[in-house]
Amino acid sequence: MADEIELLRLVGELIPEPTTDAWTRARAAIEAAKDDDLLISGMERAMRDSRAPARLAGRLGRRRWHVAVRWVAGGAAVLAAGVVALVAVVVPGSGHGSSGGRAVDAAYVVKRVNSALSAAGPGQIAQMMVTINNPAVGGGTTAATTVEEWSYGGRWRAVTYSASGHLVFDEGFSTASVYTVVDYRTRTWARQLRPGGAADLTPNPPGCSAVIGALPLLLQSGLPGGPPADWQPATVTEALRAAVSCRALAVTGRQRVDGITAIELASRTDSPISETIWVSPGTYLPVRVVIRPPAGGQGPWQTADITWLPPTTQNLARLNVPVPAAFHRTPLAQAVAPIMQRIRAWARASTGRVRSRTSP
Amino acid sequence: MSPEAFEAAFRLHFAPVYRFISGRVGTAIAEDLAAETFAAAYRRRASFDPELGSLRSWLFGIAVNLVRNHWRAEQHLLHLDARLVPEVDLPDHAEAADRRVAAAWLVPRLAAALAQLTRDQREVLLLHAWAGLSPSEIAAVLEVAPGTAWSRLSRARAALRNSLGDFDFDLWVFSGPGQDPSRREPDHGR
Repeated sequence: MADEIELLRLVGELIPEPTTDAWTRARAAIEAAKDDDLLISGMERAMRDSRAPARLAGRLGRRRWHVAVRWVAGGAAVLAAGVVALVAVVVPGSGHGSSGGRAVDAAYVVKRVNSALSAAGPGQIAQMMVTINNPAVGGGTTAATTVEEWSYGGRWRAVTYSASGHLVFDEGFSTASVYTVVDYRTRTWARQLRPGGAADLTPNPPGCSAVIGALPLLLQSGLPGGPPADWQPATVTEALRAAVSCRALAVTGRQRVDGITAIELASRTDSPISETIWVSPGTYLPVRVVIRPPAGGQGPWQTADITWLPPTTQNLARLNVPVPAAFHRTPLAQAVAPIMQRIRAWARASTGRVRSRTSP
Repeated sequence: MSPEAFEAAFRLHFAPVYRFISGRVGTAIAEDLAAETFAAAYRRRASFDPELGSLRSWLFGIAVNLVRNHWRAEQHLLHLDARLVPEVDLPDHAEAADRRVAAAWLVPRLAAALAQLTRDQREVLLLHAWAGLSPSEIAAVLEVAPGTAWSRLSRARAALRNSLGDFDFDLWVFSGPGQDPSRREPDHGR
């Protein structure tokens, strides 16, 4: 004979397991709680460092961060403004290195950037205008080239212009596996399935040991003969995420970039490459990346201005590599030779692991 | 509690906590409450003291407090369940009816009975039956003495039996945990 507890248990078996959405929502809630922790720590440190009035500091109780936000921000009522103000107060100057306080706030900012990139990855097109000042290539004379680049999921396109502004290459993956390159100097084009197939383009960010700077990675996305497929990033967002999340960067201040006061993250002094990323304080998405040679070293100086576009039909069309009708088809190896030469030049100009990783 | 320990706790206990909440207030609210349970647990992780009870009972304690704010939703759900009409037909003379099908016949009856209990009675009963907590763990959840938990559970069981009225327990025989019940004839809510 059953009893009431057994009957209840039997009915309890009808209760469904949590859905994926339920798990996801719970994880998001925990992450938000972790963010709050970091914020509170930063606020408290800001209060201490700024010699907050003892009476005010003592009120940092259950809702302490609200108090701190308003105090630090000079009365700003919104949390977002407080976060920006926190960065300004805790890291008032520029320059490298990290104190304990900076480490906490850098972790917070890095986390937000990471989350923003995760969210942007599948949903937004990263459009970059990259300027490369390369004194080491071409007999030592400075030559500035520009590359306009778009990245969206497994799709990617880069249009390279010469220093005089002429179109040189147009290349990219119109689908996850079909690589097309058009050489406007020789009026030729090539297309083939990417070696290894589409599987190589599945999101697979490089490990932290391989991450030096984001930009060299961004400019080599998926090129045949480039870095090993298991190392190169699938998308711009993945490359940026890898660079940011591996904690190679520290918050160093704020700077005006394209009309906004962006948060500046710079590589640490012991990094073999000097990299600075500016992120929007509103969206935490990167808006500019600059790569310089390490101190005392030579090599390309690259700047990428990033715009995040919605995947409208018009914007998605920018990912297509058009082939002019009058151009002749050539073998891929012939078409990509100049591009590979460019990559090798960058690789030679870089140091340490960058060189060893990118040399075919 | 280290981040690794918290992650392990989340993986282990999220599903049971979610199901406990879901059974009481429905899936729509459960997603929010289960998420908030673990977010709150993370925020309060420093206050967890293993000497005062298991991690499991600590988590259910947070969940129970959150569910208490949804007393009306729970009542509403029970009243809805009580009016459920099973859509399945048990085959005649079935010796081992499917456990879930058999349970479906019980839902309206039990929901009606649970709806008549006090909040405290229902809480202690469901912590025991659905969350699988022992009386001593329930004591930790409710922050009462173990003896108090025992007596509450005992009274709650009696109240449920009383609410079930003429329900014929003899018709439901279980051969053991996790096994199909041998059913002689289901109670049709007479």
